Amino acid sequence: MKTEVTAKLEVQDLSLRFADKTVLQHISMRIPEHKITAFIGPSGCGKSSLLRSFNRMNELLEDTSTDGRVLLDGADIYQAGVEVAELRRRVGIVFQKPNPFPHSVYENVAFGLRLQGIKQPRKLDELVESALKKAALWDEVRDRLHHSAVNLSGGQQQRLVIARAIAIEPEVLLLDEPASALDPISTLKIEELMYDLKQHYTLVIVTHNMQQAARVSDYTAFLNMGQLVEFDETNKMFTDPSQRATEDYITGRFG
Amino acid sequence: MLQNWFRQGTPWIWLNAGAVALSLLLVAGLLAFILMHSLGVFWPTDLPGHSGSKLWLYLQNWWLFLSGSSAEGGIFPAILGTVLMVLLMAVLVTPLGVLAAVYLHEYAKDGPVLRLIRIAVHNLAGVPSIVFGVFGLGFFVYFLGGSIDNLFYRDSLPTPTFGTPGLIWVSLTLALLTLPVVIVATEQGLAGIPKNLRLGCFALGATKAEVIWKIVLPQASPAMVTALMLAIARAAGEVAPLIFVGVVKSVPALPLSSEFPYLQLQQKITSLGMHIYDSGIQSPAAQDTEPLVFASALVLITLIFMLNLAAYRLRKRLNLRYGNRSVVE
Repeated sequence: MKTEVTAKLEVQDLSLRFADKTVLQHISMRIPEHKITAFIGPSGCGKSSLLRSFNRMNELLEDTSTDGRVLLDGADIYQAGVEVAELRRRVGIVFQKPNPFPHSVYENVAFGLRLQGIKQPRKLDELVESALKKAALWDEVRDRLHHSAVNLSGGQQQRLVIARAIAIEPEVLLLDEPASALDPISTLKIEELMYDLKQHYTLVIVTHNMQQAARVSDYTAFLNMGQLVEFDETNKMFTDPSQRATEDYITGRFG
Repeated sequence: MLQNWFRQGTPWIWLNAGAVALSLLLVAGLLAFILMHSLGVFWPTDLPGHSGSKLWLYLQNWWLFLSGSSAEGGIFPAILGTVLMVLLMAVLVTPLGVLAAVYLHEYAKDGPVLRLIRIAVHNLAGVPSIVFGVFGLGFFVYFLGGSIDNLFYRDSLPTPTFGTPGLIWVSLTLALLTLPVVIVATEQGLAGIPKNLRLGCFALGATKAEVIWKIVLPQASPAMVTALMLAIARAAGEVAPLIFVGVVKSVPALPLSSEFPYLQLQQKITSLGMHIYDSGIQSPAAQDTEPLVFASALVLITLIFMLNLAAYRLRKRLNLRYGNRSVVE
């Protein structure tokens, strides 16, 4: 990897265990700032767990033990005394299945802002509108801001969840297979959106879709059985991978 | 052919359907029986020389029955007593049960201790209600009430103020009696909240307390109302345990006052359940009061129905508000 890129996240010898199962082994990598990094690999390879370890989401799901360090702007997020809520405000996450709150469109986006203590209606209106615009959803929902978010289509819901996540101005946005439950048109919209978002945020995306990784990402990491096999610029990875396993996986010979 | 009939499960379906039919028949029969015996009670007999609509007279008789004091042969004190004890119970049991359920489901670490507590809560639901009555008398009335008297009403001793059966102890005993129902139903509501809603909330930088307060509790509020409905239905008809703690067959005055808090918490009350028991069995002229017993039973059923209806409407509103559409439709 070229050295002039600054690393937003730096993973140092990270190992992760769920109860009695080893999920990640000795992962080290640098996630560059204002780029899109894609994680690819067969099911169960640990790519989602790696993603979730960037904002300590794993510990909400399982009994976990973590070794090694993950540095966000140089500071270890696994250190004692780190405010996990504040960490998650800085490192947002969007899951595979859209999970809008059963409130109105407006209240979904305002949710995180209210958590931050923003109460003035005018300020909220402004921030909600700008988040929805950034998520390319504003034109579709401007007339039904106060209708239930549950009635939106799957693709709209996912963009709403992204709007909700970026409303609180995170520095990193983690996307865990954000388009895998969506139709091709919605997928395309999400991909275009990611391209816009990388101007402001550092994006990390987990995907099962090779073409998607090739289309949207600047860097790609290939994981297999809890280990980082190869991590390089996407172009290089898809044209001239240095590992045999990567080539096999990308060309569909295994996985 | 017979073998095939069995293999298709036809007898099984008939057995199931039969059980449903029998249950329905019994409940419908019970309602019909009570209606039959109570609706005619106040129908005026033919009086020569009396003019005016019979229906009007009939309604007037019902009204006198519902609004009259005990001395006038009415059941108003019993209706009021039942409503007050149940509402006060609801006020006491809801926060306690909900908080306990939140702790058990959201905070307590899974393990043998938690399992033991859960078993204890479930067993509490199986304790005979009369035991709660005895406990209420010993703990609430004598111990708690006695202590309150010693601390705040020393002047009027030895005449007890709170150290004697009364409304507050009735409601507390009922609250204890229905606590397991509320805890279990609320916990089920908490367990039904989709995990990804919680995760979505955490993902926005919410602390655990904020997740519970902003997502979990609003989402579980319909379940809490269901819990309350069950508690109310259970409590409104209790008689036996309450005889120990403050329900009597007739009261000299209503437990109301014109000043804040408008309730005489230490006063004894009477209830519909008690009235039914007393006028049905204890009365010296049982055959004369029998029709009135059915009328009281009808009033009690109607009252519980109305309380449940109010709770149902509340739940529907909460469901709409928090978007659990599947529950509404």
